[in-house]
Amino acid sequence: MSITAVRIDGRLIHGQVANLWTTKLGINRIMVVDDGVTTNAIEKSGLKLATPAGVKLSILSIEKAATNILAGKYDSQRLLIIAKKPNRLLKLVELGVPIKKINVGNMSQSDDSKSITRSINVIEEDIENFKKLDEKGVELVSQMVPNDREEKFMDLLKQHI
Amino acid sequence: MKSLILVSHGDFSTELKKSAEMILGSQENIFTVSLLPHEGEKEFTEKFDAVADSLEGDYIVFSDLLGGTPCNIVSKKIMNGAHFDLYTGMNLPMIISFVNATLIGNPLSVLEETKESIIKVNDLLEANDFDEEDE
Repeated sequence: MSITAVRIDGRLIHGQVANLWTTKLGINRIMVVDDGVTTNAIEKSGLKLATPAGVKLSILSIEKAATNILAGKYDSQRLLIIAKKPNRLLKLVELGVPIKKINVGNMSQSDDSKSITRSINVIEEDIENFKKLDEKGVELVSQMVPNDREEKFMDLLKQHI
Repeated sequence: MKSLILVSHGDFSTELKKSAEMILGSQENIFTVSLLPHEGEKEFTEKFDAVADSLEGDYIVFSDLLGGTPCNIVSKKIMNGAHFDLYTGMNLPMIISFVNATLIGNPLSVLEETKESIIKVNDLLEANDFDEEDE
């Protein structure tokens, strides 16, 4: 199985992801799935810089990510998929990518967001997308760093909406 | 579980621990001993001993500066027969290396992992020798 873990993180690759999760999960490729980032040279350079030594990086549009994964391109690898928001992952699932579990890490605040935990803030659209992912049988959890306890994300969400 | 003691001039050690916790979450087996401006060798030694003696298992020590008082005092303990590993030049990558090693149960390889962490970022950006990226 190529998909080792899937994480939602508004900061994409940063300290927790690069230094903790990659090591803990034995990841050898980080895949950032985002249509916007693929065309942003500065953001791409930043991601390359943040990727730990010895770990490969893919920065792909949602469609391309789905095509590559379904073509078995990473079957011999341990892949960590990272997306800023749930809508990217919902689309991957709709395109047939077998995502079983998503760890909701950081989602940043905005004017119209609701706070779910100290580090997770959602807008209406996110809530709808999380519900759809949940309905599709994707297990949604929240675990910031490997030492934290894994919590059921939908329970957290229901407490706050 | 192995513990880590950070020792420093002033509160660098306690603040470094806080910075690490921002990334790594709460760290219960990292302890700090600060040498404050009004303190001397005696006070620092007492503070260090109070922390070290309270620990149940093994510990290692990171200090801020080779030749500085905190490092010198802790070095003397080793010269007097104490058995623990002492590193100096501590920084955030060293803390992360320690936490990762304890998290996964790997042997500690602080030097190998963090010697390369001091980098001129401009050079890295220019080098462009990144791993494969598929478009």
